[in-house]
Amino acid sequence: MKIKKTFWLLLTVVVAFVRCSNEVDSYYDRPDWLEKPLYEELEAAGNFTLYLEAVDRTLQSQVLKGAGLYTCFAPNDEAFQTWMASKGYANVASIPQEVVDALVSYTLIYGQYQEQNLGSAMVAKVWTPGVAYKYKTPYYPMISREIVNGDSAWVFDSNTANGYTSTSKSPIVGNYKYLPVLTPAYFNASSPALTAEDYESFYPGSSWNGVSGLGNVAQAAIVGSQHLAENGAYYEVNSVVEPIKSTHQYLESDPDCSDFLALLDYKLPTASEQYFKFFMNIETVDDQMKLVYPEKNIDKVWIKGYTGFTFNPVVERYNGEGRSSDITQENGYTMFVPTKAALDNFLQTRLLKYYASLDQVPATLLATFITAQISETLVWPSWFTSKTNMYGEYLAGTNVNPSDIETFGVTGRYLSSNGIVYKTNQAIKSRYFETIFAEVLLNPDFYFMSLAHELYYGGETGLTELLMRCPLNGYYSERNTLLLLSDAQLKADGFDYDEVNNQFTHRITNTNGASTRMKRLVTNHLFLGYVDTFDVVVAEGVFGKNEMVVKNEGAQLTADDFAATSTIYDGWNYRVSYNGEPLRFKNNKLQAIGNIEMGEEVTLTKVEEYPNGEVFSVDRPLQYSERNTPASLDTALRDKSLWFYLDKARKENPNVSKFVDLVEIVMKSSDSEELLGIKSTNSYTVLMPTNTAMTKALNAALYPAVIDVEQDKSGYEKALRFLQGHFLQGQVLVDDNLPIIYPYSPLSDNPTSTIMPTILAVTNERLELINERTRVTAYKLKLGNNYQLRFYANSITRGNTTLVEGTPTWTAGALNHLTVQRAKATTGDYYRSNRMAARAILHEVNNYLRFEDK
Amino acid sequence: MKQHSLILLCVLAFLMGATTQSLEAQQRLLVRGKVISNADKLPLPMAHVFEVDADGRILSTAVSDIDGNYSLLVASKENKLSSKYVGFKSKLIPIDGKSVVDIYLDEETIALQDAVVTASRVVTAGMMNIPERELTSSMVRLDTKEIAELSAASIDDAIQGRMAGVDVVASSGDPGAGMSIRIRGTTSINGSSEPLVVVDGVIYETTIGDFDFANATEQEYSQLLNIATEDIAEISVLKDAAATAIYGSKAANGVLQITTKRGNVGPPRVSYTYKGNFAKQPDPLPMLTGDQYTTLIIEQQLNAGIQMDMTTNPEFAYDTNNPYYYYNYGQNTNWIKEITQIGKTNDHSVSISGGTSKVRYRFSAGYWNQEGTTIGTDYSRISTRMNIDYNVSDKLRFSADVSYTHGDNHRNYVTSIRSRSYTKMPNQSVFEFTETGLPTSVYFTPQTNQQGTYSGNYNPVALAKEGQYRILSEKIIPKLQVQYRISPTWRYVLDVSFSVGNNKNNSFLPRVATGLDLASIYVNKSDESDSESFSTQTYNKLLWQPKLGEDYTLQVLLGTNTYSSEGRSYSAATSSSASSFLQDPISGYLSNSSSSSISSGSSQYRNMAVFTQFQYGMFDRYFINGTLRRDGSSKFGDNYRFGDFPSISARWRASSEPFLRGTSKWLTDLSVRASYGINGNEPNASYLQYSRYSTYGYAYLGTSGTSASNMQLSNLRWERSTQANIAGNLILFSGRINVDYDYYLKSTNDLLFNNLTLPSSSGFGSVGSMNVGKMDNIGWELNVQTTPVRSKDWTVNFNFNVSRSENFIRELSEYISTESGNWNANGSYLTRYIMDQPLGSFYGYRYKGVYLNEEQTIATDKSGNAIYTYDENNQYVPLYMKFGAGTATEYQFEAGDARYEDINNDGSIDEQDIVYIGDANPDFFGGFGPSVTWKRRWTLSAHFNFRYGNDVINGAKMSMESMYNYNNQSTAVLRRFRHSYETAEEVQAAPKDLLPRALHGTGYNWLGSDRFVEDGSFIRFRSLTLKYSFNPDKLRAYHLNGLSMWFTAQNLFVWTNYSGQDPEVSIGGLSIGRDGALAPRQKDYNLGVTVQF
Repeated sequence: MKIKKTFWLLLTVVVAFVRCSNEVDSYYDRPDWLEKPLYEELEAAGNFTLYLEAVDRTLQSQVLKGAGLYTCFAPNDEAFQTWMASKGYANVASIPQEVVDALVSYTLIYGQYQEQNLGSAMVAKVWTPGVAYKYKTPYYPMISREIVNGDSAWVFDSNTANGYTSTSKSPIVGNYKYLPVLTPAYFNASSPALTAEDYESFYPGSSWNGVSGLGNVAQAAIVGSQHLAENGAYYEVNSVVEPIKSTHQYLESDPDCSDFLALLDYKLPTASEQYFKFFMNIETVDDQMKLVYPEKNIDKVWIKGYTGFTFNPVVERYNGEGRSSDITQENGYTMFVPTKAALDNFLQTRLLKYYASLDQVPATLLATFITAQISETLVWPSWFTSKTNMYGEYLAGTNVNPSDIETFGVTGRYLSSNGIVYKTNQAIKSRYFETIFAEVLLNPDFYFMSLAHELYYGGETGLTELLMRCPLNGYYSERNTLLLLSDAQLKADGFDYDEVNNQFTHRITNTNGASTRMKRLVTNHLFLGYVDTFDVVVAEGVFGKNEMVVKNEGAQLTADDFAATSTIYDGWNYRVSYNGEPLRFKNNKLQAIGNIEMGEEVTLTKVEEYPNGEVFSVDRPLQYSERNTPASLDTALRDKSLWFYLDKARKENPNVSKFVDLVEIVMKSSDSEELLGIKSTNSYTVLMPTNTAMTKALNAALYPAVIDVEQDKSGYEKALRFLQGHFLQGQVLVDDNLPIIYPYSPLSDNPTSTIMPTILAVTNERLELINERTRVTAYKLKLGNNYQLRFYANSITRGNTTLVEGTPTWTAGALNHLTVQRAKATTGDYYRSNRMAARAILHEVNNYLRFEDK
Repeated sequence: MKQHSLILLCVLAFLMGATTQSLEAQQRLLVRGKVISNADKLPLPMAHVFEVDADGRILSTAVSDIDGNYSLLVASKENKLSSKYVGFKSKLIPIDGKSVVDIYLDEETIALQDAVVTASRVVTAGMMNIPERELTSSMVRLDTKEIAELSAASIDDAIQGRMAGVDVVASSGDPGAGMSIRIRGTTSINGSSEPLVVVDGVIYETTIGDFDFANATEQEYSQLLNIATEDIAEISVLKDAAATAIYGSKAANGVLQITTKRGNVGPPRVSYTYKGNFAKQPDPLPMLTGDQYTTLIIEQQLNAGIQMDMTTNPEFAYDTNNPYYYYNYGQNTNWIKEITQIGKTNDHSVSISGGTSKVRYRFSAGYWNQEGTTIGTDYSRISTRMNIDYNVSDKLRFSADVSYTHGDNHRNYVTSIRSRSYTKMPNQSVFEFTETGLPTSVYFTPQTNQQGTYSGNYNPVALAKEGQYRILSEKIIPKLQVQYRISPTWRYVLDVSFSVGNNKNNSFLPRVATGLDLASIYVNKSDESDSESFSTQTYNKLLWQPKLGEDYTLQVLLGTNTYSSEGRSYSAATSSSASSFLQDPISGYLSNSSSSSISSGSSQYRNMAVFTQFQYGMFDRYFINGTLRRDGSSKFGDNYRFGDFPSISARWRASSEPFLRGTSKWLTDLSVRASYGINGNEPNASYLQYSRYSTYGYAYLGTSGTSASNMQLSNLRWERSTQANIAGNLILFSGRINVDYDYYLKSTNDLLFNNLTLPSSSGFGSVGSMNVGKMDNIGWELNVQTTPVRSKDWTVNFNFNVSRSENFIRELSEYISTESGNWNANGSYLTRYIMDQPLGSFYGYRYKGVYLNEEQTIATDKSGNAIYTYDENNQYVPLYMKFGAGTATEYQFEAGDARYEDINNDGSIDEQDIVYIGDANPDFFGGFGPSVTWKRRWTLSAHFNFRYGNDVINGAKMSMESMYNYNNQSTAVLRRFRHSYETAEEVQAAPKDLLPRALHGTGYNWLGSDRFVEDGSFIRFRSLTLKYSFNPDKLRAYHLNGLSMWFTAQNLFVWTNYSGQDPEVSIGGLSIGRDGALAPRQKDYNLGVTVQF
């Protein structure tokens, strides 16, 4: 249409110098509905003249006039006037440039936060409401003068937890400061929800504006609602917010914190460098700073920070640069600063108990203490009861009816730009100082043990952690017993520590052997606690197969009382170490098999009792082998063979001679002491049927009278099968007169019984069984005050079909179950059962086990 | 127009005669007399009288006065006098020592009878010269007088919109962007559809080395033609098969025939023309300032869920503590402005021509000097041409034409500087600021930033000024012709033509232009390449033109044609030279294999043909013409090496029939023409019929290897296009109204498709060329020339042409995917080849504005009700609109996203919602323009061209409003959605022209939709020329024969509803109808002077 018209027009009018397409132009014009840039919007609002006057003095004026995307928290004229009056500035022009620069930069945060997004943060690319409480500003302090190694020098903040990172684009990467924007969204979304008290305890002069308003920015309240602008948005605030201090800056500014800060800054009088505080120098940063500040005559710039505990209180960014995403907006570190008295109390009762002075305390222990005073997350006052410190320990000491923060004793608090600081009148407790392991960790006499733990048992699921289970980290029932091996004892044994290679050495074996022995010693000196009270479901006398005995939930474990005597075995008690080896004790005297053979006793002395157990010292180590007269270097550290102990049993207790004889013929190697199917590194419980039982078995044709491998292979195999069914593998079961099978699996629902595999594995093509282990159930039977150890065979079944029948099997009467014989042996200091061996125990039983293919 | 030019010529001729007379009056003998008509004895005014010596050389001339009197100073009275007068036979009279010689001239009786008729010219139609009124084929002609004032470096620019059926389009308004010429539409899917160029009867080779004619820039095009517009006498376009079949295998896309000027009998005439031109880049698309840009970038990242980390993006941080970044990235740079300058062109040409009946000559030299509108670009050209015709005798005639052109072209190192300047981050500074924020004169060329590394993030100013790219070209074209008249009816013509071309390209990228690390392979990179081509063409033509009486005419032509060309090229490239002053590739720098290379290549091509043509006419009413050509080309294998291309055409002049005799007063001509013929087309590349091997660029164990590099195509065939044409000519009132109408049907078989992708199981990625299908072109053309006013003082001409062309795909090989583009990719339209539908339809989504709030993103059913469903938690929740639901690209729309019509109401925008949204083919296109002459002094002419009814994809808008990456965007994005409109009042009050929100690297806000498809109809005010010729009488005092001055303005304005920069977009190929232009075409203002001595 337009074209047609124009066409005719053109025929008559030839020249017309008019631009034709105004419509097109207007498409590219600025639309009239578009908001103006921040500066113009603020100007139009009218009550930000002083603020804008300040803006005009800074380079940020360009930004506000249209560049980038920012949210501005602009103080109104009233607020600005009040602030100037409080600082004694007559007008905006008289504010020092540095102050005005910082002030203006600190009113801005990067990005546009519309009202609905205030308090939100981008989590996995989605606005997530109520997770952020502070936002990144363009403000960060540049270099300043500070004392470095005794001299005044230029210092710049580190920007990562362990040092300083620069980018390929610029060697200077600022330690950007964050601005607390406390919104109802954040307060309500928090768990538990935060209250006005949480806010007001930090800002006593201000009141919480989150009930009807948009919340607060530090001490200021947001007035009214959002104002959008072309390059962002602005909110009016009723107070000027100066850049707030970082945790480190706060510690420096508050004299109450000086003692704690001194610990952070600790330096040996003789050393040139601090334990934790570092000053590093990076040439590219030097060069850059020289270029940026030609007038400052810079020679070197030191980058300041702390290392040794995860939180570097100088750094604004949460958890440093290493994280895949920046969640500084959402979190911060909380630091508890104990008062001088609290600090002294801790040092005296803990560290200085073992060390003459602080100088001798290892830096790692100081770091451990400091770390314990830090929480990895923000701890608002109302969150105190449920939060933990960096080690995952409850700040209040427990999470069962914990005390709140006021009761705990807080004398001051500060919301810093990178977290929260509480001044407290007691130090935060740590398991490193409050458990049986503390004795190992703190006492320099047990340095080798602590090294062994560090080398072999670190990690959250390791043994070390087990020793540190206590109410602080949520364990209430732990009661374990730790025997301490001093460095002197270990050295006497032949150990030494090679610091260069970070490994133990031993006088008479290689490093591999050294570590093996060290582990065995350490674990043999540890005894786990046990539960001695149960919810007993069945009547006294007989345990039913389907009747459960249940461990009491929350029941306190019992630590071993090595002073106790037994009513059986002549007063000897038997126990199995953490490493699964048997020992016996009586009147605080302990004997492992090696000690017995050497005829010595290990005497215990109680050192300390902790919430999670007891610690004893020993006058000599428990030995698993004879060490008095080493025949050779090699055998000195080696166990005796199982055959040795079987042979010894035959000699001292003829009652089991037929069994051992048969073992000798069928299982023993002709030229060594090795037994078929027995490994020296495994644990065994050997059931030795009496000669009577053996005769019964012979009559039942479970083994032939004469074994001739050449002539009667099936007879030999029969005998082997018969014998193998009596070697229970994997655990040493002592007859300890406890109501339970010890050590029991914490997973077991019925601690009074356990099922163990034998070394007999059935392969029968007809039954479709390949190498199927046969199993034996062991259980405790209460008889009066005694608990008898008994066994019966388990059948191998598939569904309701029995493939391999085990006898004696389960019967309610249980008369035919194998019972351990407690009588004294014919000769020697041994009994017919509970015959200790290396990693094994031998019991005489009144019956035999039989596994028959169906 | 034609009449107008004739008059001008006469005037000029008269002036010439008069001035010559006034020259040199010394020592000469005066001869005077009268020129008289022998028939009625009346004096003949303004008759030319010449003194001719014994050799036939003209020594002096005079013109008779109003009473037929003349006076002439002669050198010798032994010489002869000759006189010429229009309509009379010229006569040679000996002076014989007399002082008074009256000259009686006899009327040319036959000529007089046919005075009107013979005024129509004889034109070169293919190989024969045929009177225009006897033409049986379709052909349009453009006299260069019409375009002489334009400052067109190339011819295509000059003919745009002036010929029916010829569509010339600049592929964009950006300078240096290519032009494409289409005669009767696109006939190829992706091959070249450019016409064959013939200069003075000789095929002008348009492939030098690997030069691709289809994608040539304007400059390259002109360099190729290398013919100064001053030297061109006439351009004609042969359109139908009957006209082009004689060119056989190369003429399927039509023929562009150029004739250069030659000398005329007469005294030496010196002519000097100057054309000065100022070219100004029109205002480009307004782009965001640096400040607005950073706002956009941070916002679009935020919308995409990325809170920009200012530590790693200091470019956007405005960190006041870091003045280096604050200043270097805190600017508002208008990059386009920084790289733009006013273009200037000076075009001088001087020619001398003249001749006697024995010898005619014309020598011309031109100097063209252009400074481009982008800094760092210029072009200068010296061109010379000499045309000499020598009549040895009546029987034997030689002519020799030699042209030589030297071109020197400086270009930008990369061609993308202008387009990159649009998208370059505007907050970046041109020059670097120091760490304390002080400006320097060093270019700011960061190694890397958000826009990547070189060649993604270069500083356009640095690269334009410091990067070097020079092309030196030489072209010599000698052409020799011998004509021998065996008998009055037999003539033999031999043409031999050579073409020697040499191009030397030299480029160098100094480190200062890129700021790259010294280890980079782009540092101090030098490239040099040489290519030379040599071609020989011969024509042997035997012409028989018997005299069959007045009522019958017959011409028969038999001829052969050979064509042979050879090209060689050599190139070398190295980088990391020690200094920016060492700019030649030197073997010592061959350190880095990825940037260094040496290569050479050669190719040879031959074509041979025999052809015959006849033209027979009866009673000036019936004409018939036939041609047959058999071609053989070295581009095909044995099976299909030869092709036959016949054509037949006829014309019936109804107006000469007896029953229309009575109308001759007003009906000058009424003819009907019909033609049918076959043309061919060859693939671009040679050697496709061979299985070739190429070497690896590396060695194994010190031995280099070879591999098969292409598939052998034994059965590759000619692309054959069969064309039928029906036309009518109508001339009224002695040519005051002249109407031509053509209707044609062109059917192309065995369509060639270049670089067809193959399944890799074949061992090859693609095949060079393949015959893949059939396409039809149907169309018509109307050309009207009128002279509404012709009076003593006033002459008004008005010309108008309009055409329509449609193409249809009829068959397509199964190897060609019938759909291209992705349904799930932003910026991409689906194009489909649908049988029997035009090539060039677009398919896409229907854009319905922007989701104003979250509620609007809930899917609705057919009746518009929101759809709710139970989720996995058994909650009753709304079903939100998704893109590509259930696919890997699934995306849930959010407030601010582009809203597309859910055609099938399934809650998912996907392939099934794609509909037909437009067609790139215009319903009509053409041009028109008046020209007005007043008192023969002032001439005002204007020219318009237009297209109507085509749709254009506004690609520029698409990319300039995508808000998807770090490219700068147009100010239209200020209209972007920034916050949602929740309440009913807010929704009501929401701006109607909201653009979707900025979304970095995600979302589907710029899918191919009708949002970017617009009506591309336009009328362009192509040119306006005002010319003034000085009164010759007054000029005489200054010894001048003629002086005229003119002013021309080009591309003054465009009337269109199209919102982009320029609706004129390239046609053809797969990217049909997509406009990526960021600026309208540049406006040129030319001032020209022609002086004749």
